[in-house]
Amino acid sequence: MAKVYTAVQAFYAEFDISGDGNSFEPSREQEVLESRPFNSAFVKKDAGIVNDSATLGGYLSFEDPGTAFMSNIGTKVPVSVCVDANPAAEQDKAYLVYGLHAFPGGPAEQGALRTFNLNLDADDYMGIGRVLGNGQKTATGNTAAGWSGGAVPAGGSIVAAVHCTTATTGTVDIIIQSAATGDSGFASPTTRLTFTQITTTDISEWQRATSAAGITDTLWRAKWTGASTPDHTFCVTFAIV
Amino acid sequence: MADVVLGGYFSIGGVDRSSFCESWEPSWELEIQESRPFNSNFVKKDAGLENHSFTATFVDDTSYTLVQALDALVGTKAAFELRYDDAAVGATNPKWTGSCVVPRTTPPATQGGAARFSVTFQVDGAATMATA
Repeated sequence: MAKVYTAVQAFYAEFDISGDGNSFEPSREQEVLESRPFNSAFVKKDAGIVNDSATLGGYLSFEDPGTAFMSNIGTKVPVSVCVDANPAAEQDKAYLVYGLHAFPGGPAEQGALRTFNLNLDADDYMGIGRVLGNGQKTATGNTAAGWSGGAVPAGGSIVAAVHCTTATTGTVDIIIQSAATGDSGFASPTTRLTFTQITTTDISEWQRATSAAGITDTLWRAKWTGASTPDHTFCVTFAIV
Repeated sequence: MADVVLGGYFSIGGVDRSSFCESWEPSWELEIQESRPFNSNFVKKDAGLENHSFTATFVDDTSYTLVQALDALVGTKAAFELRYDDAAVGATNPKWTGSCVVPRTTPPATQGGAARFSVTFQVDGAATMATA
């Protein structure tokens, strides 16, 4: 049965723009290098490097995040688009982009809808991963069941984004952990990424780490530790690149 | 929430010309500087300079009021102000202001057509957004 997108949750920096956005188009351009050596009657082709980008479109308002669109020109912004449900559930598919953009506002045209079209030029890579946590959190917790995302190959990377859309009280510390295959209870986890502590300011953050040797752990989760009567609404997305 | 433009705002040279303007479209461009270092198989990107301009579409009146007003500004850098809504500037209705080069306009005359023409204004430096 064909997948029909009927409920997408999209985050731009510290904003949930689901009520404004209506389209997302990721693009992964694999550069192909052609060669025409003497010994072949056919064009030979090899893979070059990858150039990632994404387009996010929707209806422009200046409540949120329209104003942020302007102030973030020239700043790398984390964007996560969770394509399976709204609100997204843990382990739903998510696209993660850390990109630059110009002002996306469309025209002011009499009688027409105000629209935006955000062209994100991804710095390095776009992650295609999973949601590891989403919603209002008022206590310490973690991803209910670790995501079997697999190992990280030598030279590979992990990326994660946090979008805290409402920071009310207390503090929360968010980390990304891995565990070996079979350790579904995360009895011996390893912390792989650590986000800046969130206090009472809405905030977003992008984290990445590259492993020259690779990581053999195959289970991944987010863990959040709250203190001082924490009350935060956030989404954590994660991908192996 | 989707908003419909029902009354935008356009001024040039310190004069409100909204009654002549059908649309304006911002082009606040950002130059992306790409790099391809040996240690990455992906293109890395950093922010370069911003280059701002906007294009407006007008319909002039029978006295050619707007064309004459724009002609008087040709070759100068004129102050401009743009808003999606002509209501008061505020947190949900920002304005963009700055200084732009006014080019010479050459409105076409088409039999049976309105005196409609578009002008692209190159902004000198930044178009600055403000909510107050």
